[in-house]
Amino acid sequence: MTLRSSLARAAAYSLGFALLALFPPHIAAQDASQNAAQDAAATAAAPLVPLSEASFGSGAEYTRAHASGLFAAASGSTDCIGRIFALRLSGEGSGTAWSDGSLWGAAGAEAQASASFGRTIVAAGLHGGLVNDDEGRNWNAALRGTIGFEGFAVSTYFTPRFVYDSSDDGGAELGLGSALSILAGQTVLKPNLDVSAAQAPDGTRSLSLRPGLGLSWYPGLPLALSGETGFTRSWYPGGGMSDEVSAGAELYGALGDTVLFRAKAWAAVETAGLVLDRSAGSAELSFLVAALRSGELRAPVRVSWDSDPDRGPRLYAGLRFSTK
Amino acid sequence: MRSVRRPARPPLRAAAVLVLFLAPLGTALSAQEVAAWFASSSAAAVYAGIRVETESLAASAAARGVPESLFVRRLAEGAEKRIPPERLASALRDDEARFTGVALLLRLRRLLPPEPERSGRLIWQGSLLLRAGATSPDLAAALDAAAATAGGAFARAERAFDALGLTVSLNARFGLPSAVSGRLAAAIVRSPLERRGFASLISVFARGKASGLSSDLVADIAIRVLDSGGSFEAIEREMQRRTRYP
Repeated sequence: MTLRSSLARAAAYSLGFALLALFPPHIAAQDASQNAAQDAAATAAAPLVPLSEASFGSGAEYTRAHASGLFAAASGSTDCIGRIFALRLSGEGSGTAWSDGSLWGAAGAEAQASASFGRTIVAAGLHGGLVNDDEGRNWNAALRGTIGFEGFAVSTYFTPRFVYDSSDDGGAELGLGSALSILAGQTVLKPNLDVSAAQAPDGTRSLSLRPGLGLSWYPGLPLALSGETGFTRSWYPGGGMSDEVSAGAELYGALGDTVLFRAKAWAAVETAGLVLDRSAGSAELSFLVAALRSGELRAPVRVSWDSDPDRGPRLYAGLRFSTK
Repeated sequence: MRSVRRPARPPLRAAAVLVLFLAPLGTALSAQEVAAWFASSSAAAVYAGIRVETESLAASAAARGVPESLFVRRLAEGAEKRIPPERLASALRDDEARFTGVALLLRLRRLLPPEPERSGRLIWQGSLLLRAGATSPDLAAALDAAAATAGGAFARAERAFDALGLTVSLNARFGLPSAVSGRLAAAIVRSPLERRGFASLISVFARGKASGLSSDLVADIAIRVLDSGGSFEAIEREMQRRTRYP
């Protein structure tokens, strides 16, 4: 683990330095006559901590479908943030060897570039991934963009996307999301509207419209709550139509740095006949094992369930090391 | 050759000399509050042995803008808790260093109000932060940011101390890197966040930590977003972008 950690950090830092050479960060001019606030703000805009991160996790999993399995995962990223341009490269991989002989694995890589012009932000990201599970080997790719106008109390975003997933549940999708963020005291309200055109692997085409409302609550305690709900109407060639209501919530908490807590639940209901289409949820407690100079070693215990019998319920316990 | 007219220095020098001579007289007069406590408090007899030193400390601090009432408050607290005189004297010496240090930081940035009640409140608040673990550079960073903003001196200094109080609390909960506290406090001071909204950053940190991010990274994101004029929503979005969850 230590050797892997060192190698990964060395690779991440090397990549970081190379990117720093290409995109030099803004360094505040040390002009004594400069206003102190401007100086401090400009300095703060330069990198403060190493912008390369790495994380490793390993543990045991149990599901009803596959009995027990050994899980391992690793992820890493490096950021280079200049005064206007920023670039982020990240990658992750995970795998589970089940006792029934099956092997699940997933790996992905992503590149994100962004530019800020005052209150306007323009970003684009390219993601590619491979998945190996009970359905066989599949791949996915996504191209996402963002145009945002960011204010302190109100921000608005437009996010075009193209997503392709080669699995049976996937297909191609072209969509445009728009969202508004409104800060109201300790709460952030996020009304949003999404429109998309999709083609399923069997050739079925659809057009969907999804108005939604998200909410985040930061009560001033070591606790945060997020919720999201939306209504999706889809139209199919030949006049067919379907409606779905989905809702999800996430709760985050911390008892100092020692115990971290996270729980989430999500469900989608087809309005015709009120059929529960799919539901999923998880709860995790993460205990601090050791706080090291280079990072943290934690022991997460997670319980999750999914209405898809292949995916849940599932129990996971392991160790995770994250660099600072 | 043109003769250079020298500025009228002598009157200023005279004023400075006058101030130097009158200052001890002022402190001698202002030291009366501590003397009054020793004269009237029922616990004074226990602390009679540290009276001279305490009056001297209070007079010395008063000459540097620290209201004597702060020493009276500490004396009363110590007496109520029955702190032994030697320990109380030692604590008062530390207090004097903190009080005068905070007063100097405030005065250098023109944030020390002339009213003793207001200046006393600020100096007390600043010294509490130092006792809670904030460092002088953290205090200076927060006050520098406050000095560069608009508004009344008292309100700006209170905002700086509230912001630093929040970073002290975050540090106690999540262990911030030492170099980050002052920067984060300064970013909070400069941001459009209302003072009552500062505490929401505790929730933001809890969310970031529970999502698998390090305290360093959450602090870095918060500083960047606040300095670029964003709020919790932008911090949340940046955290989501970086979350990796093996």
